[in-house]
Amino acid sequence: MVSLKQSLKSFLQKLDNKSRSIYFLTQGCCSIEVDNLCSSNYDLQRLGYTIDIDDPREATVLIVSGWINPAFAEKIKEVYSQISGDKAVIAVGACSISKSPYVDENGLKLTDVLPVDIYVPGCPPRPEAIIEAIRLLEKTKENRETSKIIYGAIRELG
Amino acid sequence: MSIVKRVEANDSWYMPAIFKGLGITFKNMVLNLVGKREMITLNYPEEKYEYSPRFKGSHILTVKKDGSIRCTACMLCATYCPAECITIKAAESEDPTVEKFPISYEIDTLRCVYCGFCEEACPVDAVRMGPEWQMPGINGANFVYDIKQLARRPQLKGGIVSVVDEEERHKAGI
Ligand code: SF4
Ligand code: SF4
Repeated sequence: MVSLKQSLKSFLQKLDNKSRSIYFLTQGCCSIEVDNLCSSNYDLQRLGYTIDIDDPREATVLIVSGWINPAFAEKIKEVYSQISGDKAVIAVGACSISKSPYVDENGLKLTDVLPVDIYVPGCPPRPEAIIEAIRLLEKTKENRETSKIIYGAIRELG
Repeated sequence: MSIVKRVEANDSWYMPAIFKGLGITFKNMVLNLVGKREMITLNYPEEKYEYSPRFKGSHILTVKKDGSIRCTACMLCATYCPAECITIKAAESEDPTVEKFPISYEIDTLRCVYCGFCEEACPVDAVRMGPEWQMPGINGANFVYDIKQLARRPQLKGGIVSVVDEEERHKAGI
């Protein structure tokens, strides 16, 4: 009976893991820090996130960084429309959050393009701050409609 | 002119090089398994990096010995800031020895690039870059930090007292 409970729990956790795949759409100096999460120093996969995906259709979380010009904004919109399920957007760095602090012309904020969930201020922020942002997203996600059932079931199983 | 590179004995015999490379891989694997070496992976929420004292993190407004704000509202930092994220409102002080003081000092951390220019520009050591990195927040959280947050947040344990004393400062002529 215990083994059935365990296997059910692991299945539900796997189902939950699908909602933990992250797609990076990064440019600028922040992309160095965001890509650092894939390296052996910070290794995000050890926390149960999928990061080595090429297709935004498999992802549910989008990380955007770097200076946003109108051409890049089009690309962001295209990628955002392909992301499935409970979408969440993380804005990394001063450029994507509030235009570029250095350049005035032609820049866009990410909030002009998409609804943003988490802000990570810094220029560029530490990789730990980006991990902290993803964990913060986890806390807010528990209250959402679709993941409420899965989280509730996992908690029931103990 | 054409350059012909003569094939050396080492180049034609590639097998020793392959075994040399595999040997390095095998040596690293064994060292990691036995645990002779520190792993470079940081287990983040449990372990944390020790940053150097020069690390440019969240701002700190220093205080005088009596607990009031060190800043004299000279606006040098706000003028020098490349991101234009510091907003200062000066007010007249009741104390006759103090010329003016900031009644509100706000830093928009979403715009700040943590360059440290404000720290460099300040003539009285009133603003410093602290040791902790900026925390992320959800959309709608407060990112515009005021004096209460900058000078008296709980991590500072009652505020950082500036080393530049009033008398020493007058003697040195700053
Ligand atoms: S660190 Fe740089 S950008 Fe931030 S407030 Fe100071 S001068 Fe401005
Ligand atoms: S923090 Fe320093 S430079 Fe900025 S207004 Fe105060 S005294 Fe002047």
